[in-house]
Amino acid sequence: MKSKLKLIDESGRRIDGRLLDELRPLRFEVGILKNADGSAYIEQGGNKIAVAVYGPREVHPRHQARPDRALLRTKYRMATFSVKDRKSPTPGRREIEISKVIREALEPALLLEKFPRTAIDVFIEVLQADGGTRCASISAAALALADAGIPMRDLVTAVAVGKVDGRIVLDLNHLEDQYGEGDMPVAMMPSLNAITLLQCDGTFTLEEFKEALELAKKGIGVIYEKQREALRSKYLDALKTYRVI
Amino acid sequence: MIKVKREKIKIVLPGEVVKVGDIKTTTEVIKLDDKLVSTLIGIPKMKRRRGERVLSVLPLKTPYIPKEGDIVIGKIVDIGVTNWLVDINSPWKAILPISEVLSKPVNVSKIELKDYLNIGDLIVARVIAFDLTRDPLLTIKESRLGKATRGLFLELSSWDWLLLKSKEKTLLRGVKKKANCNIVLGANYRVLMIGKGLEEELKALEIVRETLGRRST
Repeated sequence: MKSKLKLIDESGRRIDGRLLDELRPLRFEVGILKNADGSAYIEQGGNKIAVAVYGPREVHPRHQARPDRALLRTKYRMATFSVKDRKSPTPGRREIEISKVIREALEPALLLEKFPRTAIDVFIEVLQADGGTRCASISAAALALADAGIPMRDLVTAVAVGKVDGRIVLDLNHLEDQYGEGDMPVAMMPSLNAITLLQCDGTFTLEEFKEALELAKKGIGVIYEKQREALRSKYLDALKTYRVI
Repeated sequence: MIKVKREKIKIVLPGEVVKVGDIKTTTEVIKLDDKLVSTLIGIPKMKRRRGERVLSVLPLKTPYIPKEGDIVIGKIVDIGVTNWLVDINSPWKAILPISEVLSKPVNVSKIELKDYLNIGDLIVARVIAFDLTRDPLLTIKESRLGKATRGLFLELSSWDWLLLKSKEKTLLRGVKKKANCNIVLGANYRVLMIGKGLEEELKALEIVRETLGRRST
């Protein structure tokens, strides 16, 4: 749906006042839930997402267990109050698909073969949605998995890039996502320089695609540092409660 | 490991390069080309093993993976026909067969397993077999193993437990002397304090807390 809504003004500022390559305000928190084995929370612009990780634990139903590695199960869910119009609480086609792509984005980072015949459950609850929830969910889920002590090759970091008013922009918000011309979520393991998720919706020329991917890498670098900072500060704080060190 | 000064503490995160070079490593460190990358959140440490330098990361949080020979503290969660199922705080439930509890062969149809160990009972056991393809196997047919009829039970984080373990000798002596208690450090991050009564056990708990050096709680 094309509209006359102007998403980028004459001075090159976007609808929320950001520059083309600027991220939304971002905040991570690790270990927000006591009963989960690992947990994390992300606020990215208007997105508010909580992630809980349970496991490795026994698989139920039993026949789903893999004899050679752990089973990774993700459940992405949007709260009924997460969007303007009440969302039906039943998981829809979109939520099931996003659960799947998030799982496949996280899987390459995990050393699942260390826990055969077990399951690792990742529950993602979107409390407030403002575009780019799948990317925010991936970044937060990686932190929750690390917090649960599950061995990983690297953290996974994700961001969306897109085409708005013919320009390539970083970290789309809800309006840009809806009225822009293209949307491309990218997830990476930054230290390994490996892409684990690449989706694309809309039309990009080859040059635009290359530009978008470079922009995504740049954004991911910034988010990665924030992720590491959040993890490190939680565990350093925990160590400080000991007198002995 | 706990003698590190706070300012000097270096935490590594998953994906972080701990060292570059050709050094032997333990399982929590993986090799990518010549880079040695941590897979967990932890504190890097060089060990010497048989004259060789080995790089390891002491994890700040990790699930318990059973090892043959480990003494663990388990809780009976289910009773089968010829075995008990035991929760040992690991991703896998452990199996305790009758033959590892009773010394004589018995007729299963004539005895009730729950007369020996019932659901909810705590046991101190040894892991006798585990290799990832089958669930861990336990035994209580040794001295100092068996059902805990009374005691105070603690479940710690893996890091708290490592701290306690590194001071095991002092702790055992201290608890014995000051609180007149026995203390079992299960390898599965669980601690059991057994004394004559609750009073002694609470005293032991206080000593454990002091050993952990917690400022709060």
